[in-house]
Amino acid sequence: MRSADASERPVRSLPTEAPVVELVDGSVGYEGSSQYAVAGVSLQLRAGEILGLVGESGCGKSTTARALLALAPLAQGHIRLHGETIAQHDPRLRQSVQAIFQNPAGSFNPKRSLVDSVAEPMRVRRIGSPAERRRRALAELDRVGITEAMARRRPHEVSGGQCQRAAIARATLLRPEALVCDEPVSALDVSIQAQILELLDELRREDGLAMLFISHDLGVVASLCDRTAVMYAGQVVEEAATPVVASAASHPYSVILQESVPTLDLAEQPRRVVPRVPTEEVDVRALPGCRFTATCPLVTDVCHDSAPELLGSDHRVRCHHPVGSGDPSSS
Amino acid sequence: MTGRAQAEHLLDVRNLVVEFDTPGGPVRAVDGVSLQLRHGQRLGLVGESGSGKSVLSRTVMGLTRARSATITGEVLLDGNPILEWSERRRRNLWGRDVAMVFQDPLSALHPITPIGGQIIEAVRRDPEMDRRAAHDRAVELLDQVGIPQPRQRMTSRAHELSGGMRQRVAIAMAIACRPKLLIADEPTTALDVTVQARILELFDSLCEQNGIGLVLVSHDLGVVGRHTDQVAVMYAGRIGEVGPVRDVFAQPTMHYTRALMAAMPQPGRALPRPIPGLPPNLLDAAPGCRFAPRCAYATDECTNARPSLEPIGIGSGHRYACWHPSSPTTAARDRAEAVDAGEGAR
Repeated sequence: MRSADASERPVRSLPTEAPVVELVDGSVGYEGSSQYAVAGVSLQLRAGEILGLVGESGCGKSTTARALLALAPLAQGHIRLHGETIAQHDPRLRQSVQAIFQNPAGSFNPKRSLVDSVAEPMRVRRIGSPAERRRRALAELDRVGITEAMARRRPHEVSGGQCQRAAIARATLLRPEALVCDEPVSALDVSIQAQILELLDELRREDGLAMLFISHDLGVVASLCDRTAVMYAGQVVEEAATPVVASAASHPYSVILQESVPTLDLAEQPRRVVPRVPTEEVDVRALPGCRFTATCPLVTDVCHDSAPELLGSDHRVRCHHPVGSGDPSSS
Repeated sequence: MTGRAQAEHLLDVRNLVVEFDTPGGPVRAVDGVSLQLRHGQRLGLVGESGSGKSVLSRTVMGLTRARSATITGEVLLDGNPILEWSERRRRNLWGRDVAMVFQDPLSALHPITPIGGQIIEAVRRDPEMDRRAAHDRAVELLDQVGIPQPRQRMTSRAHELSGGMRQRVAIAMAIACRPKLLIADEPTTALDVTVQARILELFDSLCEQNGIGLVLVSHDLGVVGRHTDQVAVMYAGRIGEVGPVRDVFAQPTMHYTRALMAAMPQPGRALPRPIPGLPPNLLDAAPGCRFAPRCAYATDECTNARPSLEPIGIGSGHRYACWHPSSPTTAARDRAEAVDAGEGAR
């Protein structure tokens, strides 16, 4: 075992302590579709750790987040809080897990000042006097870098970055244990984006928040997250420590995803470990075998016949023919 | 120089200023930009929101209406001084000399007319095309942009296609009349990375095979780095640095270029470094370098006088606008700091 204090952010192997929040085998369906949008997804959010969730539009990232927030009812599976199985609508879950979203301005009341909106969770829970709420809200806003003068403005009078800071203050006001961030920096310019990432990094280190960080931007996930899970067609196809997913991914889809990211390192030739094949237009969620067969260049008969399981512990892969060194469960 | 069969430069922008009247006062969205693009060359325009890259590209296309904006300077499109032309005359160039692809293909396409009809309409801007030939050409175009089963797809409507396929249709319409210049404003920002990679490869092959010049507007340095020949970095309506992509990224000389590169999240690196300070307020027309308030190297000179674009070396085309350009020494110091910061975070 690695010693835990070797560096500030060690590459984590799975610790024995129970995760703060855990989604176990969660499936979510939407009306009008015979297939689950998210099928059998298990994720663990641990204190002081950021789990990145990547994948393309429609793969079920946001639905997974909504399941954790009890905004999308689970058709199968359950949620555990500190190892204890609890109902999805248990108030303890809502208290422990807060969220920030892509469009912060849309999550604030346009007619109210930022500080009023940030104090709202206390008002809803009938905590403190109005003056006390305001004081706490201002203190929380100050912590994320919003001055009192700015806190008196309304959402449309501040920039997108400042609005996202206020959204973070509102989410952390009642000291949750976990934060679900659904594309929190996608609408922001790179310089502002970097500020928000720095702030989330601080919350991880100083408050020990557990976080689920959803993004379609693999560069952002690679620079912020401790672990990364890759989703495809409603399933997690790979999960491992971020450096492993970024440079030694095993699932062909993870590899293709990584190789599609244009990097700044122009000296380095773009990698093409996995060749591209044109995608057939099929309902991949309805396939009997592996769901990636329609696009996968490494497909064989077994892929069409049987659906692979998500195997391994520290590095989980759902593939019959993982790229690179053979058996993924041995890592 | 003007009016010959083929001008030396496909695009020649000279000291372009675009100013909008707003309730708060005049705003200079483009503030004295000059740049050139040769036939078949690809230029990346990068910068953050409000840097003027979209206004610049729209003005080049002739889409910035004179009523709402004051435009001075010159834009020569293949030698044609388009800013001096009437809108009617300018419109004749659209499609045939210059065409544009936008970020959101769904709003660029008609919701009800089948895509085939829309492409045929674009193809028939060429008066030589009859209906039969236009139909065949439309199928050919869909095939060229990589849409499977193009003949069957002619009757599809925009909402029946995925985002990537819609953008391909928009590109097919843009190249329908074989334009000399294609302007793409954040064409892949709304798309998934794997789809983005394919669209960018499509641009690459169109430029290479058809000799189309490309202006690629993007906030993503990686996209521009991989898919253009030249890059211009814009800040507050001005070009801060311009040159061959490899030179600019290997030796970023103006401090904003450096800061922007450091703010880009990259796999395998530490957390990106935010750019200190606030984005510029275009309402207050400061006399000096617009980046000075956020620049660690700024002096009085920077706040008082505007730096001009100076060349690095001879003939490389790499130019920067900075009073205290980054030298190998300061660059090494920055890198050391970045490594320190990186070790702290990892």
